[in-house]
Amino acid sequence: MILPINSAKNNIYFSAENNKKSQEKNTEEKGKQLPYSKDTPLKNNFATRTRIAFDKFTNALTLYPAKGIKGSRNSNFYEFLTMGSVPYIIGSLMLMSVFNSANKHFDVFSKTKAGPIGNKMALGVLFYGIAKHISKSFVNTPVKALTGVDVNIPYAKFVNEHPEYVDDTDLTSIEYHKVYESVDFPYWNMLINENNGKPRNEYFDKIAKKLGMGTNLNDSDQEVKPLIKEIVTKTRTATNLSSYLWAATGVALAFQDPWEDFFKVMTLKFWDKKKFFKAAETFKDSLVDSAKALYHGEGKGLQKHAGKILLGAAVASSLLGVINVMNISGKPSKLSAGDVIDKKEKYVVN
Amino acid sequence: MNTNLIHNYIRNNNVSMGNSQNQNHPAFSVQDKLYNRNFIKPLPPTAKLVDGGILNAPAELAKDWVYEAKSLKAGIQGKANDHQLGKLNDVGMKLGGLAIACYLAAKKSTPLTKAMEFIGLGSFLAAMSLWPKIAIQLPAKLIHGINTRQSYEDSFGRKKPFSLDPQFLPFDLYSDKKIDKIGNWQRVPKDMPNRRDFIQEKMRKEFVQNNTLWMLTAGFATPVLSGLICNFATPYIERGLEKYDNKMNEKMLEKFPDSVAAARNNSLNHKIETFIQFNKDKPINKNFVDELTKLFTDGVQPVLADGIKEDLASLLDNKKFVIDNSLTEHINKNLTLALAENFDDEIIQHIVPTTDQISDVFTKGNYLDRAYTAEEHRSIITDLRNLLLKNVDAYNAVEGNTPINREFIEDLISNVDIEADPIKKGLKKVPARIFDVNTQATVKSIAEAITNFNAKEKVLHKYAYKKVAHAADSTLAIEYNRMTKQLVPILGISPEDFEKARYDRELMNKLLRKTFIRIASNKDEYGRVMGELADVVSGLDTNIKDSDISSYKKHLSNSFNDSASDFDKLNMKKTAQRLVGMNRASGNGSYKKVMEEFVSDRLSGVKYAMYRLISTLDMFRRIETLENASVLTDAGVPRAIKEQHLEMAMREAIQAHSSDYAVKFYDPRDPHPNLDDFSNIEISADGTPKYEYLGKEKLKKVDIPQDYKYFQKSMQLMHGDAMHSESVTILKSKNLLDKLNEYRKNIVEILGGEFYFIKPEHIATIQKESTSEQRFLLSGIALDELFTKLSKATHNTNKWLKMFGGFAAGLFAITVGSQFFFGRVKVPEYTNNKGQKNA
Repeated sequence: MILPINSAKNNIYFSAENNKKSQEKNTEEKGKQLPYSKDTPLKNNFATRTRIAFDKFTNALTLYPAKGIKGSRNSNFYEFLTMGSVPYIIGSLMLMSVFNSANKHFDVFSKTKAGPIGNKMALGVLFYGIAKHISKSFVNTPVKALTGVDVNIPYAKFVNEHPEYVDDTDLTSIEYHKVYESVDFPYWNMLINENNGKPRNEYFDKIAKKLGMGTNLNDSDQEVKPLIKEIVTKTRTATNLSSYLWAATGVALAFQDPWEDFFKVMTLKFWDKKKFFKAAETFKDSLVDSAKALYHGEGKGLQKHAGKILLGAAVASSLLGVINVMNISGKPSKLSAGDVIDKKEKYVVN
Repeated sequence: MNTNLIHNYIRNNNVSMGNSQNQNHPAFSVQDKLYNRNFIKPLPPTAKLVDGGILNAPAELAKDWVYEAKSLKAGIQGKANDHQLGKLNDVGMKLGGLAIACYLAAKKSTPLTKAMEFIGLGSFLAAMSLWPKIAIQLPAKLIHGINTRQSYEDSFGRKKPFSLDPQFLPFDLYSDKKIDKIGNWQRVPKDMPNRRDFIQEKMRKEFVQNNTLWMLTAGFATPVLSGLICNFATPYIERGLEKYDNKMNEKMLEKFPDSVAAARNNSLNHKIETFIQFNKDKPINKNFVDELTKLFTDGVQPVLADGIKEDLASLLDNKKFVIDNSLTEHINKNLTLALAENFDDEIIQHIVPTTDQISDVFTKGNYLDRAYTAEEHRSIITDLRNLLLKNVDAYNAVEGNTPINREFIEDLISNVDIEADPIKKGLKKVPARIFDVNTQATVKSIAEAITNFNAKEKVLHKYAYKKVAHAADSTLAIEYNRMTKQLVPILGISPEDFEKARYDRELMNKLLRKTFIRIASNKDEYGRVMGELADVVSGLDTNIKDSDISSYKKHLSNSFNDSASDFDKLNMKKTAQRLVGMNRASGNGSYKKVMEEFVSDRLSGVKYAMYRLISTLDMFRRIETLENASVLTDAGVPRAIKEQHLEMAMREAIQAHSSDYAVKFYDPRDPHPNLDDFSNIEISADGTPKYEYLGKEKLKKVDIPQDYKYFQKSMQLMHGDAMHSESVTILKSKNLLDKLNEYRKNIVEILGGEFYFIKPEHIATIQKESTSEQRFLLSGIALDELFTKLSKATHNTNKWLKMFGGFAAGLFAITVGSQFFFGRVKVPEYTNNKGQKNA
């Protein structure tokens, strides 16, 4: 259903540029203040990442489901994807409880049998997530260092929303996206310097230099953009495949026997310092022992070497991924045209 | 109607396209073209909705795979688009899942647990895709008539979900007919203007709401659903796998020589070859023997390894040593070291014999380059010691003021311990035995013999393990579970009572007693229960046949005897002895015997548990009918005593361990029973015995050592009397009678025949020696314990199912219920084409 736009009296401008005024007005009236008034590139550092993760996480648990379940006009694909973290979190907790909650009703013997399996499963889910997340940097970081292309540059997107009801003045929101989110349509504008006194193509110049295409290019952006696309695509391919192998390694790590030592002393009661630190210490020891157990294995043949093979596959996938990225196909040849033409041969020019 | 922006623009701004065009194409009118707008049409779209029907699924799946392969190629080349990269994420997820399953499967050693890892992962993936289908897609279809998981193929042939991005819903792909149908289903007024827009808005809302619901519920649902699927699937998979495994196991033994050939691992032979290459013609010293022993005993049964070690030591090391010129310096050094603590270097230089002096001793005695005898060994030592003492004397003659004490020196250089004696130790430096061609051949033969034995042992081990091991997926364990699971329904115990009794043995004891009395007091019921129990037990005999076990024992015996004679031929007596025993006929104390007994014992343990149940039930029937119940019908026994016998038999049959038999039942008894009443035992209508005396006086646990007949009569009542005529008929028809009779006879003789020094006369019939293992197995698991364990296991499964089954049901209800609140859009006020306003 289309609602009448009668908010014209509030001076709503449907453009990112001129929105400051309405922002100020909103601030006065409703106390809502957005950190950005237009699409803004952000620095990819720890502070930003943490802030974005926190923002997304809290929204995924509160605002987005509330909007979604009401079927809001402004619920969009971004919100749906952000909510995708909810089943992961609930699922991990649920998996722990599937094994552990029924446990307290069991007799002692059954408890000791079922407990470690359940805990290992839960730890497995946790390590799956952590390994999957962290392992992406095994490809992304070398790629960034070698090519200058950071596939994770974030930007804040300023969103104009539909009015939900007549007299709805809360018509803006912020979403956090990544510049290279789409390889088909990267948000190039976020990478260009505008009105800040620096060279317009500073970013592309840097990458061109890193890729060995020389400096002082006339249109570095035009030269570099196809290469960036290729790098991003290859990096994304590598991370999509390798991160799951790392996740599998994480699960395998969680399924090692030394963890049982940790399960015996684990506690979340951080106020009981003695117990908590003991648990943390045991966690560290168990982690080291489990890593060793995973690597060395037990028994013979495949049974013994399965851990090594899995770890090897994960490392190899990341490594091959980086190598593949560095093997850039569209790079202009360093030979000049004169060298390419063999003067002894005959050429026909139509 | 949509606003035509171009139209408006032209009209409002009065666009003029200039004169030049008019001159060139006088008939061309921009206004005309723009109004008609037929020259700016895009290409006709070819997108379509994907048919999600089950018939279409295989084709769609194949298409997806091809697309994924293409995406991978494009991704690696750096040419993939966003959609292809998204697909690669799915590929990665599958790859990771497979990697986890493979790793976990490789880690576990038995096929069933291996399969369970796959089932676990499979059920998780199944739960993940099932939940949105049954809890969201299906109810939405039924309630709103929409497909929330509709896919469409865009004009480029890329398959995409239709409803995930609410701001890009290509509704054009829905025909008017389809939309109308959905609208009718949702009871949208048929006469409203812009009905399609209204229905689409409703659908958009429903899509958003359903997607949100999916994200909110999936986390709760998937693990629980996965657990439930696993729980239901396991028994079926277990049964199938078990049958297959058992068959493969049988086959392995049937084709024993082939299986042995397949199990043969030549790595030991290769290792020995390498060892020979590195060590040939070298002297055989202690390190050499140790190294070789380590090679041979790696992974060998410890008992056997000890035998091999001893044999190798005596075979290779003949304890003889050679004297050569290298010893002169060696002994000189040893002596210098031995004295260094107590004397200055200067003195040591004077008194320790030089290499030349030592060499002289060797040459004079003609000891060089050959092995010395024990006698020669002694004289060499004496010669060398004397040589040193002579030096001391010479030194003392010069340095008369501070003479060196001869005896002290003698003490320092002589010791009983070879390692502490510098001369003795020095003489043991070069072993006489060389690793020559003959010895190499012997070592090779030993390696061959051990390799042969290992292969046979491996096959036999595998067979025995699979058949009877104390492991969750051995045939015996599965059979045991199969049998015990049937017991509760056969005995007709109500599940509620059964679960309640799990807390305590005493509760279970009472419940079992009540049940047995109920069954035994009713002829028909007794016939049914006994018949069904006999069927359960004979099931074991079909899955683990006697012929299987005897065949295993035959192969075991042949293999071990063959290997033992191989070792004998190689002069490895100790190894052969460990293998088949000193007394080869009995094989007592040998590895062979251990492997034999293992199988028999495990099997007996399970069988006897079942036999005990049958025998106990039979006893209850005998008591109820007072048939074949010797002591209870004995006119010469006072009633008070009969009652005690009766009570004890009922209790002990259910709860006695072998230790209770060993102490001849330390039981609550009335120390001063009434000995005047010789009337008969009475059984009330409901089957419970009527006690005239028992329970009137307070019972005490008293030992009456002289009353040995009490024990004898109790044993007779419980196990000695012939079985009830009804039992005999039933068991005979099931081919179990002989086995039961033998079992009961063994109990009387072995458990009843044990000597107890406090009550030496308490012997049932004959005094018989037995091992504790035999006694333990004979008594079987106490029935109350068996049922308590069973009850706990049942309870655990039920508890889990109750908790999470209930949770899943509740979640499902909420998820489906919320569907009724979705898609609510207020119908606007409108006037229909007949001019009527809606209400």
